[in-house]
Amino acid sequence: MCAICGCGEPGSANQHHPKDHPHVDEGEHEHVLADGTVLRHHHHDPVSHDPPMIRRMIEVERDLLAGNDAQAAVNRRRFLAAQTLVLNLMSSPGSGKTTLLEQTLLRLAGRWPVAVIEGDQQTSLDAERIRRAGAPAVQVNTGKACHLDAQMIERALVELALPMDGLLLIENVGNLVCPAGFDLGEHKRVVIASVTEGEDKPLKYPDMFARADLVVVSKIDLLPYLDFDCERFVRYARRIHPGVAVLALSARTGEGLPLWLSWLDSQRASLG
Amino acid sequence: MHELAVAERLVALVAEEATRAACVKVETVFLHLGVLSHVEPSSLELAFLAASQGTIAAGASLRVERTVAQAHCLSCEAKITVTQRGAPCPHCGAFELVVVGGDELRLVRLEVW
Repeated sequence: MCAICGCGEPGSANQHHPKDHPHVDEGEHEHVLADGTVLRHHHHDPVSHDPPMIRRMIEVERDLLAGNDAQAAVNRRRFLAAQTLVLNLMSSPGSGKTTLLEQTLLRLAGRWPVAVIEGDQQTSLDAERIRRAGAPAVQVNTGKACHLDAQMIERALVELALPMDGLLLIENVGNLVCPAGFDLGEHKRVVIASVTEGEDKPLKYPDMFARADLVVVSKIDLLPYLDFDCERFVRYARRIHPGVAVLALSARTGEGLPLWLSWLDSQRASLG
Repeated sequence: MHELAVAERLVALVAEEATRAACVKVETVFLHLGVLSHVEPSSLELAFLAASQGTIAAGASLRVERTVAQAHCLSCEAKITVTQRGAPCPHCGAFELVVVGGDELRLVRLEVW
């Protein structure tokens, strides 16, 4: 029935139109709302209807990543309270992240407690490699997701104890695009690019390099077999991110690893 | 395709706001996407279509406004507007740009019934 005059209700005595509420033809009538809006409509059948619907605008102003950012802030406070330096390592698949982590673990053994979170779409192959290298590791399988987010890190820390006064290394999903947009609560972002990927990666994947705190050029033991131009790579990286720190290494031969380890030292010292 | 993750969060926010405002249908979702944000509007639209199925946001259309980034050129000190990463300063051609903003992903308004 009409919510205003009750017309149309089967058996209702009110089948006529009062003067202040005209119904022009079969079932057609109008409602005047409190704000003066006139809604004119009709019913094909003598049935009830809900209060009249009005199209309106709602001002919202909400950040789409606020949920992730809030969780990242919680993670960051937790890391700081435990005095754990946390690095988010990002690269394309096959850049040598896991090999670099294995070599880092060997060299830090007995110095700092280290733990690793491994992100991959599926399998626990990387976490197994890290455990064999002597560090606790938990594998996060993202399924169809192409990146880690702050909630996944929180869930991983249910299984993995934070290394107090140590280092937590998060190996993100191998992907130069998606992980760039998601804060995990890390202290620093490290982007790794291998020499076999070419010098143009910073220009092709600028979002990733724009947010890096350190860029690592890996697999430099292969330089004799390639045309990779290190200087050009650094120039391109700094075109995207002026002044970004870059270091070159080979996890296989150990060349450049002392620079990487002293960068880790300096970051840990700066936690305060 | 991280746009799916972003779309799922968008649908959750839209549903929350629509429920709070006691509306029955969402007609249009107005967004501000920074030109340097990591979201591609057409991918987000497709992901939103999938993620909104069966929710109050189903059938709503997205209206995206691209917002620009500002930058300060360290070489010539000019203040400029940036529309993509890695482009040189239009005044001096240098690449030493300190970029501010341009990465927002914001739900600003809903048109509802």
